[in-house]
Amino acid sequence: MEIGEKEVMQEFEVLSFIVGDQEMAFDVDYVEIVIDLAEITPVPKSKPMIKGIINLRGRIVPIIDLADVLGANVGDSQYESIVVIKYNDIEAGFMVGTVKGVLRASTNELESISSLERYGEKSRGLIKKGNRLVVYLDVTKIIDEIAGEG
Amino acid sequence: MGKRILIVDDAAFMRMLLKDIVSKAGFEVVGEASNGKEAVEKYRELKPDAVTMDITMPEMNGIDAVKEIKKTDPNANIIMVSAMGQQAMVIEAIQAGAKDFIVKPFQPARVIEALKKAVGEA
Amino acid sequence: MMRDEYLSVFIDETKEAIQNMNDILLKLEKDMEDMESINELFRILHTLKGMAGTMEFNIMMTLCHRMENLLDEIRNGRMKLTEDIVDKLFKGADILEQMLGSIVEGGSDELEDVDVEGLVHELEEFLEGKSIGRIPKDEVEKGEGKSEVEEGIPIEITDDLIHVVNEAKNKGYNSYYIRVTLKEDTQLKSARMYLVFHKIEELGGELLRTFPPVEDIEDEKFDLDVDMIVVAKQSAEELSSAVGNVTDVARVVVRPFEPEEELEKKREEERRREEVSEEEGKRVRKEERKRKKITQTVRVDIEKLDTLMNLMGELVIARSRIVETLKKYSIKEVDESLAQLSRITLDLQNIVMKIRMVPIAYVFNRFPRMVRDLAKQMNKEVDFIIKGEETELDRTFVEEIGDPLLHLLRNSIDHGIESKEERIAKGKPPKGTIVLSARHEGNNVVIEVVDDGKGIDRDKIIKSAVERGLIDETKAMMLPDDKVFELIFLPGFSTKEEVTEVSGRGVGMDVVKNVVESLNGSVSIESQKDKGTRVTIRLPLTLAIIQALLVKVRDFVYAIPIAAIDSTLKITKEDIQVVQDQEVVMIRQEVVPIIKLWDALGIPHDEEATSMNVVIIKVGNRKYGIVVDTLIGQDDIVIKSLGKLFSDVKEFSGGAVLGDGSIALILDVANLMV
Repeated sequence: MEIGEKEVMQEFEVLSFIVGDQEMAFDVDYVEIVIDLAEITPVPKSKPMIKGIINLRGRIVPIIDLADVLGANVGDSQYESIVVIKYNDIEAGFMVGTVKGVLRASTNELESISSLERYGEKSRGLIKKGNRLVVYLDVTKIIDEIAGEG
Repeated sequence: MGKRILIVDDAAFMRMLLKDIVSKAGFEVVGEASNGKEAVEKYRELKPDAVTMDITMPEMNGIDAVKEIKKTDPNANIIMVSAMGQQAMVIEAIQAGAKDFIVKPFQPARVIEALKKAVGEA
Repeated sequence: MMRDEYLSVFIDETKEAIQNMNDILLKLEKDMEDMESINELFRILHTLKGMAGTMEFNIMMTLCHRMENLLDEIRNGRMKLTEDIVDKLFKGADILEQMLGSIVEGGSDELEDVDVEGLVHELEEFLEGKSIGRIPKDEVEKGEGKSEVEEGIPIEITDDLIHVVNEAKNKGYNSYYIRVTLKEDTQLKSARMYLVFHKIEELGGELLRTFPPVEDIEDEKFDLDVDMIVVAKQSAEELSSAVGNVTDVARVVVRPFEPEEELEKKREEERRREEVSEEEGKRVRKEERKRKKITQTVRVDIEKLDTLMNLMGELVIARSRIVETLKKYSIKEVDESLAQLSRITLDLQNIVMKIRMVPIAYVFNRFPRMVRDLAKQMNKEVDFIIKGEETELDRTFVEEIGDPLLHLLRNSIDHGIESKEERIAKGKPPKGTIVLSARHEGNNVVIEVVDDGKGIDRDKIIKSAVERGLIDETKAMMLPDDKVFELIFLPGFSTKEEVTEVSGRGVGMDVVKNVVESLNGSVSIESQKDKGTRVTIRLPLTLAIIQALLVKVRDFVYAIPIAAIDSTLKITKEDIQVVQDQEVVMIRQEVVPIIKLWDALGIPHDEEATSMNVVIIKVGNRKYGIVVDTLIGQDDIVIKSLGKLFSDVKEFSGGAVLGDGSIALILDVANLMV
């Protein structure tokens, strides 16, 4: 949002992936690693969007259903990968569909989304690249929201 | 005439300060050098009774200068001028043949005491 | 650059020095004539002054310098220690602590709203003798008359030393005992001492022994004196004048060294020391041991220790994985190596664990001073006794347990101990007693705060809890005492109507409970009216690796810390009775409530089988049973935090990666059934 309002053009990189029928992306700065969907150990009594935990090289990492956070509709079978991010000492994995790769975009390709719209509050805007429309998600907001709840 | 002293320090300010202290006590400052190399040359040229030698200097440091001077004059009276925290270097200098050391920031009385002891006046 | 490198060491050592200052001042407050303590305090301040000067914290240096001067006068018998001076020195210690805090935060020893100069000035006034009486001159002489060197020398006289000395004698060398004392404000002391050694060697002398040892001298771990045994051809006078001529040497004592005589002297001293009361002797020896220990320690970055611990954890997991894999094949040759690997891993694990252990004294040390101040503030008289400060526990706990303990101590002083008048009226000793103790009990560390105050008023607690809607009145009346006391741990509970400055700082007993439980520990209260209160905290020995019982509900594996388990048993459906809506089982005439793990965790579960496994948990002084599908077995597990995203989940204290790479959640047994 704030980037879209800036006059000066700036380039940035995102990691894009498919969730449901929408292409979405995280800022690459927060992405630690992408792994195949692994066996998830459920944690009873935890927040509904948290599907459980995985063992990532001896570390315990919570796994979040991104569709759940965003209110999108996705069937279980569509999940292929886990995008592990690290922000503010919190390490978390997001279950996503196909990972498309790193996308370089510039601020003039970024359009702001009204906070009233579907992904508005949790996104930093919409990246328009040719005929691709990518929802540029705000990882920090999503994590803060999950950590803050309950 | 007082004993002849060579002052070695890369900082002009420190040389000035030392010169002041030393001359007031009746010594004669016969020369100054701003690095180790110069110190070795000046020592050969002037044959002073004692040298105050800074440790950290460009071109050649004080310890190497002590070693060089000692090669030509094993009886050279050299007093190291050290800053806090240079303990190890001071020890190295003593091993190389320095007679004593003073620590920056120095008290005039200490400097004089050390010099007098070095030239055998104390 | 240099400064940054030293800053952390400076901070550590200064912290230690201030702590020691406080300890000694507390001692001196009780015995103003305690010369040993005065000397010790002088030394501490001297060292501190030197360190502060080196780091260019000049205000700190000045303050230390003034205090040091004052103590110098006192230790030389020219002044007498008074309560006034002790108070000022306490104040000085406080200011030093604040300076250190400021240095830690902003890097400067300048304090904005503290009148450092005022204190410096007051100290000077003492020195000038304006405030209190100086000691008449004739007493001074007496103080100085005793010669330190006449006592036995601090160097251990070993057989080989005697041998070398005798050899030297045969070759025409003399042996000397030399004590060199440097001037007070000597800089680069170890280089200076090196110059002394150099001088002796230049004369052809040979250093046989030094005290402190050369390594310590190199690290500047000495005050002003160094003792040494030297063999040389020169006379004592020659040696003395040569060494005395070294700059900054204040005093040289040289006397012939006769090993046999020295040995006799030492023996005599030992006898004398033993004649001093047994207790005293013990203390001295203990301190000697302590001191010895200190010289053998190495400072290690805490982060490195944590990394080591993590690696250790990985190793334990890797080993379990190998064991798991090899179970499928039976290879004799591997079995033996594997057993050895297991043994080594276990040993290594124990050592790493021990490295992490620190004496609880690290936490306890700061309390005497705080208790003194609080008691003074509350106008109460308290004898504060610390026991078992040498008890070791994981350093993670040391950091966490300080605040809860302080809260308990505050409570004891504020709510527990009565005023002097009240105590006399009750026929109790006018001075209250608070005992803070620590001890090992099995796999636990038990920490207790016991006071002989008025005890907890049962009715008051019930009234308060009912008022706050925490419990139903009729139900509360039925509760046994220990259950009533547990109400104190509920969030938002406080019986004191007005919040006093001392104990009402927004930290309630619920916080104490939370901290202790987050460390996998438990806390309980016992109290008797007018007799006193005992709060007991139980902590596991170490946090990182624990023994756990792995259990299964459906396909999910959960871990229960062995330390919390009382027993396990098999029951049938018929064994379960229902009392007041609560399922219970009878175990040896004891009614034990039970909970089905699948119900507690909300896991969908089919009708239970006729026979069930129950794990009986003991938390504090209550028991309950957890019903599970199967018991898998016992294993060492490495506890890992679940992270912030699970901070709302009270049922688990963490997770553990098992040998097959899967994860078992660790049940937080204190919160599973409330």
